Amino acid sequence: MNAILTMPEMAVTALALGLLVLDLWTPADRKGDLGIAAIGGLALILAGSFLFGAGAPQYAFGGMYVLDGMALFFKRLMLGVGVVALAAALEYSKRFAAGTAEYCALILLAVSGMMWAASANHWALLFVSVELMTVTFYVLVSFERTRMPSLEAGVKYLILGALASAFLVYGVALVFGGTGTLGFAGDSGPGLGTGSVLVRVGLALVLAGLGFKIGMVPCQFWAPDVYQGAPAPTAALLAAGSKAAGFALLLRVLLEAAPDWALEMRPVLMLIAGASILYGNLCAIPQRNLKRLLGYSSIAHAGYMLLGIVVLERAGAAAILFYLAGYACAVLAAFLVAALAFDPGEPEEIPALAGLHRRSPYLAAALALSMISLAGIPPLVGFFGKFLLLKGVVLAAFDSRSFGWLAGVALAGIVTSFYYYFGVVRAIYWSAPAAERPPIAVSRVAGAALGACLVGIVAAGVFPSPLLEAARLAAGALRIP
Amino acid sequence: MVEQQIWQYAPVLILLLVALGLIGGMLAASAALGPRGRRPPIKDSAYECGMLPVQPGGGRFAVKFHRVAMLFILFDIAVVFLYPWAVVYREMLAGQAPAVLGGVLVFVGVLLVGYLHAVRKGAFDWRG
Amino acid sequence: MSILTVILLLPLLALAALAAWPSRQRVMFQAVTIGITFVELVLASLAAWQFDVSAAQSFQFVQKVPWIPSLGISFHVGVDGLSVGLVWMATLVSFAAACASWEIRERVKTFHLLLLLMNAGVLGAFASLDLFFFYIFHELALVPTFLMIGIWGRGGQRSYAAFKITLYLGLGSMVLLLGLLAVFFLAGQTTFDMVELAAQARQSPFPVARQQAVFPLLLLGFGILASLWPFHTWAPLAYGAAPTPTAMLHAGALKKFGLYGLLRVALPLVPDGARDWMSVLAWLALGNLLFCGLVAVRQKELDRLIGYSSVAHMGFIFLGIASGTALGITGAAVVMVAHGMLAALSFGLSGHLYQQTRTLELDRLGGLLRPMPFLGTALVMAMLAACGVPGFGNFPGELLVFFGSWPPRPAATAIAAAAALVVGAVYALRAVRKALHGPLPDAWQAADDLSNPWRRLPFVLLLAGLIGLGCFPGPLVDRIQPAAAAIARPLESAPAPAALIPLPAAALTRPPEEASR
Repeated sequence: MNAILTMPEMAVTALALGLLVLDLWTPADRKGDLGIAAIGGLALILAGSFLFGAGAPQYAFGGMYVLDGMALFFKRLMLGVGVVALAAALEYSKRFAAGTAEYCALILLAVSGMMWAASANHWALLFVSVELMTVTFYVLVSFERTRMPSLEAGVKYLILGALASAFLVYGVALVFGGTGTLGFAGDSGPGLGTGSVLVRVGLALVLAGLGFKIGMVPCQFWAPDVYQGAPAPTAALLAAGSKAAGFALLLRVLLEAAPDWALEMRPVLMLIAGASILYGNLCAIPQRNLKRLLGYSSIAHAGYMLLGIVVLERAGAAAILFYLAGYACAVLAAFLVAALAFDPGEPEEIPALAGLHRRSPYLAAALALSMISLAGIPPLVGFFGKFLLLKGVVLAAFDSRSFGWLAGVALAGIVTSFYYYFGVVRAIYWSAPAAERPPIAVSRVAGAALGACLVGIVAAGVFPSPLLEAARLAAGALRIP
Repeated sequence: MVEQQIWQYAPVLILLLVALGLIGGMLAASAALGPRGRRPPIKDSAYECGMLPVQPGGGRFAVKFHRVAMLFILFDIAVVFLYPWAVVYREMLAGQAPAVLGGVLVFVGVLLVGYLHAVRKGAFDWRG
Repeated sequence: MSILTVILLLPLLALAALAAWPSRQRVMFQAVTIGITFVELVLASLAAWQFDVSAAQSFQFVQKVPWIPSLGISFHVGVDGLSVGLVWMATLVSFAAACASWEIRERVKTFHLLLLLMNAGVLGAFASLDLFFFYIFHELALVPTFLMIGIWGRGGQRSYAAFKITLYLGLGSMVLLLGLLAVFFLAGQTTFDMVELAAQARQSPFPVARQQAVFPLLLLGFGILASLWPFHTWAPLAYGAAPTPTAMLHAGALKKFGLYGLLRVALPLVPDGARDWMSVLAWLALGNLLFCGLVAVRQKELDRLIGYSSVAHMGFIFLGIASGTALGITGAAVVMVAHGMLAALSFGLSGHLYQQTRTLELDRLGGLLRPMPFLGTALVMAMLAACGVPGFGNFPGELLVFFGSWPPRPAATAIAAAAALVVGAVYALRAVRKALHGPLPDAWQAADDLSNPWRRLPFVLLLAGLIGLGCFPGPLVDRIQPAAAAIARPLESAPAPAALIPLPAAALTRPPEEASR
C-alpha cells in the first residue's frame, strides 16, 4: 500500500485542519497572518510536488488511486490555482465580518478535493472527491452571508449541485450494476464495453454529472448566476480549479475507462461542444456584469476544451491540459482584478471600470491582458491553447465533414468573443468615467499573485515549449487502449 | 445476466402495484360510498380529522436548534463509521496493523479538530 | 545574428525598456521611437543594398532558431527578392509614422509602446519564414490598432470603427489560421517552415482535391486582411477614424500582409487549388478597382476618399496576382511597395491637414495651397501618383500588372485599364480641386505648413521613394522578378491557363533555366 503517494493531498488537508486549529487561538487582528501562512504552506507543497517524478503510473489503495503524469500535472495546476485563490481571498476577506481563516481552510479543502479527483481511478474515489469539492463550494459560494446575490448563488449552486451529484451517483451505480466492478480500466482489465444498456445509461448520467462541473451545455445554467454572486476568489477557484478537476475526471472516464462508449457518443459530444461554444459566446454579448460575463465565457471555454476531447486522441488531451493552464492564468487574473477594482458591495459592472487605467495602470493592464488572452490573440497563452485545440479539429476535418462544421462553429464563436472581450478593454481604456474615483492601492500579496498570473499569460504564450512538453508528457500517461 | 438481475426486482414491482391499487381503491371507494354535498375548506386541510391548526406553519425558529441538530448528526454519523472498523479490526491487526490503527487515528483526529473548533467557536453555547 | 533579427529585436527591446520608464518624460518616448525606427530604416537599407541580386529567389540574411521543436515551429527569418523590398518599405513607413506621432498629446507613453509593438509586428510578418511566426507577428498589431483608434482616434465613430476593424480582421485571421493549419496537415504535420513546405510542394504537390478545399480558406483569410472587395468596408472607416501614425502604418505596411501572404503562402503551396480561383480573384479585383473607385469619387471627406482610393489600389495588386504570370506578379509586388509609400504619404498629409483645419470635409476645405505650399504640393504629387502618372512608383507596377494579366484575362484587364485609371483620375483631381484650389476660408489664413524642417523629413523621404521608384524601377524589379518567376512557374505549368500564355509575356520573363540557376 503506497499511502506515501497521497502525500500532497494529505498535506493540503492537514494544512487546512491546522489552519482551523490555529485560528482558535489567534487574536482577531492577526488573522491575516494565517492567510499568509496558508499561502506559504501551499506554495511549499507545490514545490514539494516536484519531488515526484512522472515515471510509470503508481497505484495506492488497491488501484483506487493512481499517480501518473497526468495526475501530477493536474495537481501542480491546482496547487498553483490554490495559491492565487488564497492570495485573492486574503485581500477579499477584509470585507467579511469574520471568518478569514475558515474561508482559507475551505479553499484548501476544495483544492485537496480537486487533487484527489486528479488521481481518481475508481468510481467511488471519483464520487467522493467530487463531493468533497462540491460540498466545500456550497459554503464558499454563499460565504458573503450579508449580501443577497451571494446567498442566491449559494442556493442555486446547492440545488443544482445536488442534482448533479444525484446524476453522478446514480450513473456510478448503474455502471457498477452493469459491470460488477468499481475500478476504472488499466490495472483491472479492459475498458468498459458498449454492450450493456445499464452501462450506457450510467455513463450518460456520469457525463451529465461531470458536465455540471465543467459547465457544458446543457448543464450550464448555474454558471452565470453563481459566478456573478459568489465572492470573487470563490468564482476564481470555480473557474480555474473546479473546471480543471472536471476535465481531469472527464479525460479519465472518456479516454481511459470507456473509450468505446466515447467513440460511439462522438457525435453527441461534438454537438455539446458546438452548442457550448455558441451558447456561451452569444449570451456573453449583452452582459454588463464582469463576473457574469466571465461565467458565460467559461461555458464557451468549456466548449473549446471539449474540442480536445472529441478528437479522442492524446494530442487533444495535451491541448486540453495546455489550455487549462493558460485559462487558469487568465481567469485568475480577471477575478483578482474583479476583487480589487470594485468597492465592497458594489456590483462588478463593466461600465464602472471606466477610468481604471488612471486609478491603477497595473490593474488596467492586467485585466486587459487577461481579456486579450481569453479572446485568444497572439502572442498570449490563450492563443496557443486555441491553436492546439483547433489543430486537432482541422486534422479530423480532412476525414469527416462534420468536423469541418465544428471548426466553423468554433471559428464563429471565437470571433464573436472578440466583441465582448474587447468591450471590457474599451471600458478600461477609453470610456468616460461617470465620476472621478480615487486611485486603487494594491497590496503586495495580491500584486505578486497578479504578477505571477501575468507572467504566466505572457511567458507561456511567447515560449510555449516547456508547458507544451509538460502537457504532452502528462497526456502521454493516459492509458488509451 | 441483465434479465436475471432485473427479475430480482420483481417483488418491488409487485409492492408498487399493490400500493397503487390500494390508493386508487380507497379513493374510488370514498368517492362512490361517501356522503355527497357541501365540501367545507376544512375538508381539504391536511389534518381533516384532528385538531384545527393554531397558526400557519413555517414560523421562525432560533438558529441554535438547527446548529445543535447539525452537530449531533455530524458526530453521530461519524461514529457510525467506527462500527465497520471495529468489525474488521481484529483480523486486520494481524497483517496490516499500521494501516488499520493509523487510519482510525487520522479519522478520529479529524473529528477531534471539528469538535475543538465547535467548542472554541461557542457552537455549544446555548445562550449565544 | 542576422541583420533581420536585429531589426526585429530593436523595437521589442525598446518596448521593454520604455515600459519601465516613468510616463512623465513625454519627449523621451517619441525620441526613442523615432530613433529606433530610423536605425531600422538604415539597417533595412543596408540589407537591401547588400542583397545578392544574382540569387534573388533564394533566402538571404537567414536565421533559424528552433522554437517549438515538437510541432516543427522555429523562429526563422530571411528575405528573398519579393520581401526585401517590402521590409525596406515597412521600415520607411514606420519611420514616417513615428515622425508623425507629434500630434499625440496625451497618454504619450502608451501610444509609443503600442506603436513599437505594431512596428515589430509589421516587420516580423514580412521577414518571417515560418508560418506560425508569420501569423503571430501580424496578429501583434491587432490589439494596438484597436486601442489606438479607440483612445486617440478622431470623429464620433471611432469606437464603432475600432470594433469593426478588430472584428473584421479577427475573422480574417481566424479563417486564415484554419487555412494555415490545413496546409500544415497537407504537408504531413512535420513543419511550419515555409521554405521546407515550399520545397515539399514543388517536389510532390499535395493532392489536388485537398488543395481545392484549402485554397478558398487562404484566399478568404488573406483577402479580408487585404480588403478584397466585398470584404473591404472596414478599411476606409477605420483609416478615417485612426490617428495619423496608425493609419499610415496600417494602410501603408500592415495591409500588405494579406497580399504578401497570397504570394508567399497560398500560391506556392497550393497552386493547383489556386488555379481555379484565379478568374474569380480577377473579377473581385475589378470590384476593388471600379466599385471602390466609384465610391471614392462620391466621398465627402478627404480621409474617406484616400481610404477608398487605397482600397481601390488593392485591385491592381489582386489583378496582378490573379494573372498567375511572372510579369503580373512582379507588377503586383512593385505596386505593393509603391502603394505602401503612397498610402503613408497620403494619410500623413491628410492627418497634418486635419491638425490645422480640424475638419476634412471637402466642401468646407479650399484654397489651402496658398497658406500651405509644401503640404499642398506634396498632396498634389500624392494624388498624381494615385492616378498612375508616369514618374511615380505606381506607374511601372501598374504597367507590369497590365502586361502580365492581358494574355490570360484580356477582358478584365481592359476594363481595369480603361475604367479604373479614369476613375482614379476623377477622384484624385477632385480631391485636389476641393481641398487646395478655390477660395480660402479666413480661418485658415495662418495654417501651419510644416514649418519645422524636421517634420517635413518623413514626407520628403516618402516622396523621394515614390519618385525614385517611378524613375528607376530597375533595382526593385530585378530583385522581385526571379522570386515572382518561381511563384508563377507551377501556375503556368498548368494545362488550361498555360495554353493561353502568348509570346510577349514569356519573352519578357527570364527564361526558366536562367532564373533557376
